[in-house]
Amino acid sequence: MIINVLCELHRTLNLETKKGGAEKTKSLTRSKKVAEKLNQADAVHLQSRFAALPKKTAIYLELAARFVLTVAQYQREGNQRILAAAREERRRLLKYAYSLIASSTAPELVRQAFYSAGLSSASGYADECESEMFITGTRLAITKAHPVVIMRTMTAYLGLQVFDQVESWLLEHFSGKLEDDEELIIPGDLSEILSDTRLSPGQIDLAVRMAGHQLIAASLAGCPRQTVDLVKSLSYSKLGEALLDWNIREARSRLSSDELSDAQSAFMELLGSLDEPNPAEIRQENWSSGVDESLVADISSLIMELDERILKSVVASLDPALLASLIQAMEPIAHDRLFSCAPSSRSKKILNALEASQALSLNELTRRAQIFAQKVLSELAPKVRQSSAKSLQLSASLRQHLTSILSRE
Amino acid sequence: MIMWNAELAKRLSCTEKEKAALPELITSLLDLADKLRLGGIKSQSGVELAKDQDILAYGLRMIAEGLSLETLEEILAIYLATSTLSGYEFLTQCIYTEAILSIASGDSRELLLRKLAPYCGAEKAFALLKAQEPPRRAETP
Repeated sequence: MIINVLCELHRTLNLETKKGGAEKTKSLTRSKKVAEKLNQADAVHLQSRFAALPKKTAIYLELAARFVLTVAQYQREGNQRILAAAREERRRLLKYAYSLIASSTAPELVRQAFYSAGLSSASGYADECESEMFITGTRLAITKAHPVVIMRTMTAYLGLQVFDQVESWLLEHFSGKLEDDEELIIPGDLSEILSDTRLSPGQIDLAVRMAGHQLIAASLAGCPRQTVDLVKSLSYSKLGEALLDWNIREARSRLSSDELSDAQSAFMELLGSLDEPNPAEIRQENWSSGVDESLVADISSLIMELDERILKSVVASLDPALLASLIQAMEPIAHDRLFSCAPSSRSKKILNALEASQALSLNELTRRAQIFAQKVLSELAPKVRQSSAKSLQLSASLRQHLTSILSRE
Repeated sequence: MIMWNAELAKRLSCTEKEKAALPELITSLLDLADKLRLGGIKSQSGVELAKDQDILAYGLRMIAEGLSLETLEEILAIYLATSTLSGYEFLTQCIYTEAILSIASGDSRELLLRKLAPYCGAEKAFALLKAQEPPRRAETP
């Protein structure tokens, strides 16, 4: 979920929201001149707050490119190359980044290391963009990420404006084609299946994405070139093709014939499963099978439509185990509302109870739903009892859900 | 588990009136995902998207670059976090990004809907889920 990653980034970056919207940085506030220049250009909608004048952007790109090329050499030639680069480099930030890579610092400690060296904006380094680019690049280099991945991630700080420029540079430096390599053919049906006209381009593409780059590379590593080309034409851009070629080459050197054959079988199974419901749908199906759908709809609607104060009060007064078992008969969106009305300590108790709970029969679920509905009624009742002895002031739909739950046998 | 950050929550906040436009936007993303599921990721490469959808266009290009889901998530999060947008504009960019990640992982229409609907807020999300619900199977006697 992107919100979780954004939360992390908001904690680590110096983001400060100005009144009225846009952010400013502590270290780099975009000047009027820069803003004017950028507006003149055919700028993208999603502007980076680090967007700078072309000259400054070119410097950032040049630094990132230098770093990525050195890392690529290090990945091919080993530690000596990065140690030599650290010795030769004059720029403090790069020198330090190389030394961290050479010493195989733990990836999660890279930010702290930059901070301790006074090279992060939090410890006073003036250029936050440059610092963030290299903290990210160093961490990725240590995890042995592909240079394309490192370059794309580092230059994301500069915004979408440089996307095409970075793509051209990456193609120029990392588009080694498989054509020069010898074909490796592992006997199997994958090539035949992929060229079967009954499979739509969408199905093949979907299977490629679901498989992920490691499985697809291992599967194609033992296929004829025309099969690889077919997959490329359906799922990959020029740069994607280059990355796939690199992954295939890597799979051929790392995996045995048996492992490549296993990968083909796994991918074929994935392709075959696309005609069946996907795992999430199966989960949904399992979740709903055996549960009365109208009971689920009534409970979910009741929770969604209840006044927040009433729901909070009901959630606070009911046994967590009862709420946990009731969750089995609720739409996921109703889970969210229920949990949003519970203090965190109570949420934990409900989750613990949920973990310990068993699947209930329809009768047991209905009984629990009725206890819940009765509690709702008792929370609603006192307000009206004081003013008159008339019927409860409920909306028609709320009344309908309560009646529907309570009238079940 | 959904994490929470006060600064981010402030940045995402927008009016109820603005949020009213989200179900329509989400429906258009569901339709786009359907087209991609049918024709493949490259089938929409030449299609012109609105100016405010450039993250969507670039995101689709990154899927075609074969970047892993983790990498894609990190890059897109950097674009979002360092952007100058806030309020409704920022919220819509987050929705586009969530859609890209869901498309990249090959999610079904139903799963994509369930990932995007919560961005509308509980009440509107529930209405959207109901509106998008596939017709119920005929009940067995």
